[in-house]
Amino acid sequence: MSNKNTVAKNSNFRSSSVRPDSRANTLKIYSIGSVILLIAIVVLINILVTGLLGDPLTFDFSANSQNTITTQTRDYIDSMPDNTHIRIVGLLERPSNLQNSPYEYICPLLDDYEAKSGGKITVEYKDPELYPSIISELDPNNVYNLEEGSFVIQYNGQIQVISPLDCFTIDEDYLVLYNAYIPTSNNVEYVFTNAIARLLSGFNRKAYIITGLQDDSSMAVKTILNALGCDVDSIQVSDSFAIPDDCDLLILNGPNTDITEKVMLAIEDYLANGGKFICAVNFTDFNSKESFANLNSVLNTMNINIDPYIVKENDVNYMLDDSGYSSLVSVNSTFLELSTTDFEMYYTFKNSYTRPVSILNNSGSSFMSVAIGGTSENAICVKVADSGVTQYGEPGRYYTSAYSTIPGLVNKPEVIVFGTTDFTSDSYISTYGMNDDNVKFFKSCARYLLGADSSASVDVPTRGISDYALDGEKVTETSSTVVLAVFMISIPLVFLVAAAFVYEKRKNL
Amino acid sequence: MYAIFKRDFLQYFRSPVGYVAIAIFSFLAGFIFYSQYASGAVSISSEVISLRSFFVIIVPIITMSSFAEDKKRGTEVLYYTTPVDLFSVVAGKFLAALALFAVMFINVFVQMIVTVSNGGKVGYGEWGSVIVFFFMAAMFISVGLLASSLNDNQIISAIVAFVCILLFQLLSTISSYAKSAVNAVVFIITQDVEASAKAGDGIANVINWLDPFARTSDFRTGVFSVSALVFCLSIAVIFLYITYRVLEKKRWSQS
Repeated sequence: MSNKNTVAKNSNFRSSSVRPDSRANTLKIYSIGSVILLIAIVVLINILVTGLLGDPLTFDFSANSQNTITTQTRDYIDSMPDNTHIRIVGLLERPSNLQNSPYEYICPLLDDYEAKSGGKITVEYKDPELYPSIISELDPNNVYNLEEGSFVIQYNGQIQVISPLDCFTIDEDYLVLYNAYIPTSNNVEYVFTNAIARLLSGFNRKAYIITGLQDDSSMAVKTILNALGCDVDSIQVSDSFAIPDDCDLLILNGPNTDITEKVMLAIEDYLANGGKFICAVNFTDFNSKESFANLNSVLNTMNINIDPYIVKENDVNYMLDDSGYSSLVSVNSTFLELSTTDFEMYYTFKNSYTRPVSILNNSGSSFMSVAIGGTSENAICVKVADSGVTQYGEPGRYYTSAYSTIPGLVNKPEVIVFGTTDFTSDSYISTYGMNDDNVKFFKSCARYLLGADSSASVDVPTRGISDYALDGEKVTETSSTVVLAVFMISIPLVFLVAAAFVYEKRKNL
Repeated sequence: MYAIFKRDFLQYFRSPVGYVAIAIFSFLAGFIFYSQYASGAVSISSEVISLRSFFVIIVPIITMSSFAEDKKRGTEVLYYTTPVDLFSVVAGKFLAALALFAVMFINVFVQMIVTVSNGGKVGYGEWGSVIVFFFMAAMFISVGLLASSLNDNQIISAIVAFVCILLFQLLSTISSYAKSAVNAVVFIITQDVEASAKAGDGIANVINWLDPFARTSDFRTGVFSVSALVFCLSIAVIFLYITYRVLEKKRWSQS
């Protein structure tokens, strides 16, 4: 019995000497298991949060809400049939760092299109180098010459191509001076939404811009026309100049020299066949001696003339600068009556370096010619003759833009003439943006002449570029030096000295 | 926990560590701020998001002594012998390091005031980037604490934390290399360009999913994504829990 007890005691001793290892193993397994379990739970939570709640829990705190589509676009997307599927393909890898690139404004906004479209719009990024078949898939006939970095919107086999540069208004002056692109307004949503609208409506028009007359660039006009569902090409002035048959709208934007006789005859012929023509001419040092005789010859056939003067406003209520060459013009009441049906209503426009536009009095003619914008009753017009002598016209009201047509014809010609480029120039549009009244009026004119219905375009406001500029008067060389001295030198130095002091004091403890 | 927090937080200022960390952070923030200020446009979001790149320097300095110093001095045994929950110890040290970050960040708050007083903008987007900065700081501090709990040498702790944070920082580069490698391998096997591209994209997506820098880069443009914050918080919880398990292991391995 006593032997049995001894054996039992020994056996108990052996088992108790093994127990700590076994307990350690158990705790080790528990420890590793709990970590693995925690990781699994965390991964699951993150997948759920990203997948299910990622979009509702993503907020746009940017200054101009640049990453969120506006109500206009949301309403338009909501109005699409449920079975609509629009595919937006970025021909690039989605950039991981968006900073200081146009994609900073494009990619997050496209994410929002996708998130808020309820499956009607999908966005994907396919680098053509990695996915060569994407080009032939989107553009089987190689019509569009798709380039890497651009975006393609596809719907029912039709596509629209958007280059990132199309999405911004560029500072024209900076571009000319420094050959660098500085965006002044963000038109990303305007361009994408209207491209979608154009695809869905099937609306398609063609506009041509006459170039080669030392004219200004027309990038902004092209963007506006594209958004209205209109392809835009240019026609260079040459001996073989001809206006293509598919031209729905002809534009002459800011020429500094007169059109040639060949061009004159071509435009006359175009108008005789019911063409639509927008012409914008201003008065600057580059063209002050140009009377645009050939252009006027064309416009005279439509009862309009551009006079070789510059309008000078004398009424302080209208003047926008001390010289009076920049001023407000009020919209003619006759045109306002017309505009209630065909044009959007505007009451004043900004005009600068403007030529007077006059309506000719062709008695017995069948024209309907209406002046659009006009100065105050105290304006004058000024002409600097070749001899240098300044000639002044009579004080009175001068018109700065006009509309003319011949009603009753099946193919009625229509002409809108601006005596300033403040409706169409890149310089003006880059300064004032797409939401400016002048620019909106130009859109309205183009929409009217193209016969675009409301479904072909969506009136999306454009936005400013994130502006973090400081007050130029406060940021001086002195203040910069103070910032440098305080934030980069003094504060770090104070803490380094404190570190040395503490170290010295406690090193022997 | 409060006692641990208080002790550790004050410890940063009883040694040169806290001052050096603040000095480095102030210099880096000052450098970015001055560069922007001199150019006439200050984006605090951009500055704060750029400051994320310096976690790799600041965090190891702050966390290297958290546990390693206790082990070196032998005061670590107090955690196991006093009636204190080990998770409170970990949480207290974690919060102390985070509080030091808050102190460092006062510098940026002053820069915000300077920006506004000079006609600049500080909007919701900027505050969003500040919030994500602290969540990322929390995440990397937890990595640093784990590194510190693994050995009793501060330098080794700092190096381990540095390497771990660097790995996080290089995830986007790693993903692009992995993508190219997988692309090449799958192409050799299948001779199909698009299949290899898809495989490459797949692996890159998996790696990018783990990349906190990619997840939070949109904060620079004013996008505030709660899922990115949840991700940072989750990683912090994992590392804090592992740190707790490491300490706990010593408790039962000592018995």
